[in-house]
Amino acid sequence: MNWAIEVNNLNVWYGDKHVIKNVSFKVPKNIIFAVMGPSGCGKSTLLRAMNRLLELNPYARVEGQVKINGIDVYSDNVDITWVRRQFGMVFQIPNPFPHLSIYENVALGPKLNGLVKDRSELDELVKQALQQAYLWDEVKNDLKKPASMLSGGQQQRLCIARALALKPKIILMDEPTANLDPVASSKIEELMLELKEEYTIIIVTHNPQQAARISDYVAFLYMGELIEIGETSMVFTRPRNALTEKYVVGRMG
Amino acid sequence: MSLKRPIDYGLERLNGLMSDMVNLAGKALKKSIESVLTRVDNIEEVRKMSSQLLFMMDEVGELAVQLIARFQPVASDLREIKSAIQVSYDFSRIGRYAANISEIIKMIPEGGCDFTMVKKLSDIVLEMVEEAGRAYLNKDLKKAEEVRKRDDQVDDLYAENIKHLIQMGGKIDTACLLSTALILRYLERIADHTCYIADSLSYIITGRKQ
Repeated sequence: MNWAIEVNNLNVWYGDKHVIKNVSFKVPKNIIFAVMGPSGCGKSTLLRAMNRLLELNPYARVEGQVKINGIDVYSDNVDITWVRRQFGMVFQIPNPFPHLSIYENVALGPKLNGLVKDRSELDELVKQALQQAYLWDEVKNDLKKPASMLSGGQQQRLCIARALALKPKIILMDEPTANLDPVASSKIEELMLELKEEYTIIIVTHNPQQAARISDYVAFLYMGELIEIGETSMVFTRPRNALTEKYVVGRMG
Repeated sequence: MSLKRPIDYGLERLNGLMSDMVNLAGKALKKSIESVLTRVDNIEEVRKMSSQLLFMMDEVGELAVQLIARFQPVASDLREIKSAIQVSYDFSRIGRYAANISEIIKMIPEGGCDFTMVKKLSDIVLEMVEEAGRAYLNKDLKKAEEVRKRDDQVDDLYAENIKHLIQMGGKIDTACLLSTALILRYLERIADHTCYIADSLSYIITGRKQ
């Protein structure tokens, strides 16, 4: 099988603290893969280890492999820019550049990365990304207005459009709806279901119901260990591990 | 001690209803057997119990839907709720068969019938109903397995008795022959439902159908 991503014996330490413990799994292409677990279990760390974002933390140390198309992103000869371009990332708190216009928020990445030849190509790319993020109809007449004028849910979709404009292979989402109201959250979830046709989505969530609603495969992480991984329908009807059972039915802690 | 989850209050109510159904189904069957063996007319009383069981099955279904809508249960919670719907149906069927058995009294001729076969099978089936109920309420897989094993005994006894009745055709009163055959058939069906209850319990605990 041609996997979107393969994680082999991944270990992460923050100083002396071992936070990801020998985690291995494979993610098929064009699915939503959810990583769930209680706060502090290492979900976000795992996500950040995939696109080498952890390197920005001087106390973090990573061992193991994260392979995309068979290439280990931690190999010495791999270019970090190439790694980051494989991934789009969406964070818990929508973080558009508030003073830049809606247009510029999406256009900045492709411009800096030399993805377009001229203005008309850039216009087309921005439009396409906003359409893919189901935001175009709401902002097409306000492209020059600052991103800060958008609602929280719209800002999050703008961040998704910004990620899509760089044509990533995998979209990493770290609690993308944690700060949104139910209506805006549903929109993001609907959007994810659309996007998986073209991308592979890895979402971190502390909300098991969200994982149950949208993911195809789910992994349960607890204290840095991968406790269980499987098809979402199985994990939520008959989990194999007693800890997973406790977590999904809300008896943990 | 840990706090109860919001869904636990609903699950407790569900179990309370199931416990009432277990007791009532056992009582209805006991009364119906007593009716045919002692020729005391309990038809109305058993019919009422059967109607009540049907009403309780609806209540279980209603509560189950509410719990699903409000708490989006998963894993063992979901399996328990799904099974409660099925098991409440099994108990309502047991109630219905009990009503059918009690009505047989109308067919029994003046001089009565020899119900030795009925007595033997009903003793086993009555115990199975009680054990299946207890196994379900106490989540006792071992007891559920015992219920399943006894069903084989019921099936053998039923086949043997029917064969005997066929051989006796013309030698005993037709009304007695028919009443015996019908009661045996109802008892055999009741035993099947106790097995379905045992299967539901296995599903709740292991996630797999037996």
